[in-house]
Amino acid sequence: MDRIHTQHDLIEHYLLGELSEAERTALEDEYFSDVEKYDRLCKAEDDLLDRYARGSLTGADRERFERGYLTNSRRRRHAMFAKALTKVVDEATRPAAPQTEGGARIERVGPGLSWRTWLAPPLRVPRFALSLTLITGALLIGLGGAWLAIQTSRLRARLAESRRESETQRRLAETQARRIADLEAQYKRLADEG
Amino acid sequence: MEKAQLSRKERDLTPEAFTKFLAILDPDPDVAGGKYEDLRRQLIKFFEWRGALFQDELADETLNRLARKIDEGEEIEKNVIALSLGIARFVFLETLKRPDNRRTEMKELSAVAAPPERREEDDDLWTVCLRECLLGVSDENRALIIEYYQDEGRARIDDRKILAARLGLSLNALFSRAKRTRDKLEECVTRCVKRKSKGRHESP
Repeated sequence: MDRIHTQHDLIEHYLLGELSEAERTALEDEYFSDVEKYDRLCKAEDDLLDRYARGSLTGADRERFERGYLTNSRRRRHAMFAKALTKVVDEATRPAAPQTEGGARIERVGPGLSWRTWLAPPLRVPRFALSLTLITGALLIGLGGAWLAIQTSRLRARLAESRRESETQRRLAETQARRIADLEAQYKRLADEG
Repeated sequence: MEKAQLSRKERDLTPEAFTKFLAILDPDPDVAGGKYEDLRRQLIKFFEWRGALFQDELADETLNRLARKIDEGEEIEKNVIALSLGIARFVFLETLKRPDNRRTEMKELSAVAAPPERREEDDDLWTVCLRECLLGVSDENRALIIEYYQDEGRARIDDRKILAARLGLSLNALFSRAKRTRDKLEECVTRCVKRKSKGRHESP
């Protein structure tokens, strides 16, 4: 057995069934008669279970846990529950903004978040899809509007240009008509003189 | 679950002996009832941490023997917990000697060696049941359990300090509250898993 450095190590060895009978009895006498110390034992057990459930135990510790802790059905039930709990807790705390400080994690699951939203993940997908559709729709409307404005502006410019060309053509036609009339008058006068 | 083979004499307890036992725990019957339940929970944990089977029955047997001792006039020198632990150790040693206990251990071991393909399915069932059970918990306790058990290591310690400060509780009081909710949830989830597993196996 590894050397025991701290109370935490001692508790862990106890939970994993790695203490001698004398050490075990001494620890029980000390920890069961003091409520706070007894709570410390329970807390250490929950932490150990949660670390196992999250897969954060080292290979050797995981082996120790499976060999020394999972020795009866009640303990296996704790392990199964811890797996479900860590999964649900991680899902509930994952969707929010990146963490900046300890408080940010608390805020993520604060009163503002609807628990039913994450308790029923199948409902989350349509809501996300709906949001995506609305955003895409808004973008399309925005882009369509801009495109229409540009097209209208272009058409207006072309219309103005056409009007200008038409006016020029009209003036040119008038000038030419006047010149033709002058030439006809000149031709008539020369014919009368001749 | 198979019952531990305790003799009828060992299990029986007179109402008078039980009343006397409660009076030793506390003069107020309501407070005494609460202390009795706390003591029973502790004894169940004792047997669980010792790796015993049928922890509930062994805890009840310990309490019955303790009540009988008090009824017979035994003086409690230190405290009830110390005396209970002494009795519990005897009860535990007796279970180790029982041959039927060894047979049950083999049965327990076969349950551990379940085929791996069942495990993932079981994990899902536990998660589904936990979601169901969480809906039956008050909003306050649901938030508490999520916040209390999020993260790991240093981050978890810091989060708990912040949470305790926000709720105006000491860290110990916060743990007790979270632990009570966790234990209740585990009981609810266990019942749900049993119910759903039974339904699954009965369906064609």
